[in-house]
Amino acid sequence: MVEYHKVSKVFDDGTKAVDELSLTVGKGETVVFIGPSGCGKTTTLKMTNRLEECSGGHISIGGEDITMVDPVQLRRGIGYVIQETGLLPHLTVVENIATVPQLLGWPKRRIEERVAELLELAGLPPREFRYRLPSQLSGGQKQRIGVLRALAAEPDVVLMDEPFGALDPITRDRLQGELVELQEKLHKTIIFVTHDMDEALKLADRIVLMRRGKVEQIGSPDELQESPANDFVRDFIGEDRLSQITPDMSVEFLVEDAPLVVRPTTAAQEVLDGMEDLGRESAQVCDPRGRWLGMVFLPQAKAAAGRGGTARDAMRTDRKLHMSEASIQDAAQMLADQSVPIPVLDDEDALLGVVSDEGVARMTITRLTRQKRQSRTEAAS
Amino acid sequence: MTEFPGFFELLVDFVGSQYDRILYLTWEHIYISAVALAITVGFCMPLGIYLTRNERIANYVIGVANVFQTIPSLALLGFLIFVFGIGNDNAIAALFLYAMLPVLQNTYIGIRNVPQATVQAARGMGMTEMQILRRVELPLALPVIIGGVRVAAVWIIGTAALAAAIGGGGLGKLIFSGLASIRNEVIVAGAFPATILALAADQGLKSLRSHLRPEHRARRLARKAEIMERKEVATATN
Repeated sequence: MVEYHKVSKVFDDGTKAVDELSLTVGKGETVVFIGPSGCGKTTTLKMTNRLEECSGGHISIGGEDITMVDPVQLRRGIGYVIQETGLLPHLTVVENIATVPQLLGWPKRRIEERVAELLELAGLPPREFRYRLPSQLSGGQKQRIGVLRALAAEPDVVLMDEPFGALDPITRDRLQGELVELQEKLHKTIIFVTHDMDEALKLADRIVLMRRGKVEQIGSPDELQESPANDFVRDFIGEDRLSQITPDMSVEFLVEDAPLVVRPTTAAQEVLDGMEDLGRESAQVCDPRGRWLGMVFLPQAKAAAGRGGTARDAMRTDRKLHMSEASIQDAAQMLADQSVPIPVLDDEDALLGVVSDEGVARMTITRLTRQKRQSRTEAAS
Repeated sequence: MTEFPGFFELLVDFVGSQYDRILYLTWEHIYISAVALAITVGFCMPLGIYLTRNERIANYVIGVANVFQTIPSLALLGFLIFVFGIGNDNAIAALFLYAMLPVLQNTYIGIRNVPQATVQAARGMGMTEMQILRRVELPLALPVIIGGVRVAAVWIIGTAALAAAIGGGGLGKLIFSGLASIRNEVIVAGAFPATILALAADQGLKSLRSHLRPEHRARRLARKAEIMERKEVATATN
C-alpha cells in the first residue's frame, strides 16, 4: 500500500534526518516507527503526506508516486492524527470531524450522517458532544475526536504522529485498546510514530526501530523481542529496561522532545507566556538552524521580561549534556542538583531534546504498568 | 444674575435652535470616521497578513506606521494640506495614516501567534494556504485584530474633531467655534456627541468580539439545533 524506496532526507543545514529507508507497508497493516528523539521517525511520517519533501528516493501510495500528485489532494486522501494540539480550537466537535469531507466537497447530508456514525463508533453520544469545543473536552476525548477526524473521509492510509503522547498512562492505555478494536473493524493501513515501546508492542503488526536516520531493525513485536538485531535494539525494547539500565549507559534512552524551544530574539515576555501555557519552568534557546545557544529559567525570564528584554538576556549556557559522551549517571546527578530539564546536544551543538525528571518518572510508570499487565496475563494463562 | 442665563439654559437654547446643524455635523463626523476606519482596516489587514508571509520586511513596515502614529495628529493634518489641500479628504487621509499602527500590528501579531501545530494540522489535512488563512489563522487571530480595530476606531473618532482645523467638517466645527467665541455651551454641544460616538464604537466592537467568541458561537449553534429538533418533533407528532 505504502512503499518507501531508499528514502532520504537531508535538511537545509546539512543534518541527515533519514538515510536510505526502504520499507513496504501492506494493505491493512499497522506499522509503528519508533526510536529515540531525532531518529527520523517523524520526518519519515511527514514525508509520506509531503509535509516534508524527500531529498532522495521515492515514496508511492497505492502504486502511485506521491510526487506526481498535488500535495493538497494527496493529504485530503490520507488520514492524519497528531498530538492533541491538532484539533482546530475555534470549531465544534462536528466541524472538526467534518473538516476533510468538507474540503472534499461532500454534500451536507452525507457529512452529517458520517459524523453521527463516527461519534457513535467511538462511543461519544452525538447529542452531548456535537457542539462542544475542543477546550471543553478531556484529553482522551480530544484525541478520540482527532482519530475520528482522520477517519472521516474514509482514507485507506492513516498517519499517526504520537497521537497519545500527551495523555496520562491510564487514558493512553484505554485509547490504544480502542484503536486496536477499531482497526479490527476497519482494516486501515496505519503508519504510527511513537517513542513508547509499550505502545509499539501493543499496536504494531510490524515495528521499525530507527536511530539517527537509519533503520536498526524491522520486524514483528515478537521478532524484535526474541531476536533483537543488535545491542541497541535489545536495550531499546529491553524487557525491564529500567532495572537493566546501568548508570554508565548513554543518556540517549532518556531523551524526549524539548517542550518549549524559542529563538534568542524572542521577547522574554513571550517566553514567559509560553512557559505558562505549557506549565514549564524552563525553555531552550536555539538559532533558526536548531543549534543550541542556551536555556532560560523562569526567574531569569521574569526578570528579563520586567526589563523588556529578550530570551538572550535571560539565557544560561552552563547546563547541557552531549549525547555522545554523557551517561545516565551524569544526567541523574544534574537532575538531583536541580530538577529542571537538561538540554541534550549532538556534537555540532544541535538540540536533540531534553532529559527531565518527569520523563524519567513517566518511563518508570509505564514500565511498572507493563510489568503488572504481563504478570496479570501470565496469571490468567 | 437674571441678565446672565446659566450654562444649562444656554445649552438647551443652543441645542434647541441648532439641533439640525448638530445632527448634520454628527453625521459628518460619523462619515469621516467611518470612511477613515474602513480604509484603515481595508488596507492594514491585508498588509498585516502579507507581513506574516514576509517577516523580513515586517519590522520596517511596522516602523513606518509607528512614525505616522508618533507625529502629532494636528501636525500630520498640516503636512497633508500640501498633498490633499483643505477639506475632508485631507482629514480622512491623515486619520488613516494616524490609525494604521494598531490594526497593522494586531493583525500581524494575531496571526503570528496562531500555534504552528494547529497550522501544521490544517495543512496535513489538505487545506490550501488560502484555506489555512481563512479557516484557521484569521478566525483564531480575530479577537486580537478586533482589539486593534477598537483602538483605531477610538483614535479616529477622537482625532476627527481636529479635521475642522483644516477646513473639514464634523463635530470639531462646533468645538472650534465654541473655543473661538468662548461659548462653553457650543463646545459641549460638539464634544458631548463626539464622546458618545467614541464610547459607542468601543462598546460596539467589544460586543462584536464577544459575539464571535467560539464559546458563544458553539452555544448559538447548539440552541439552533435544539429549536430545529423541537420543530421536527412537533411536525412529526402533528
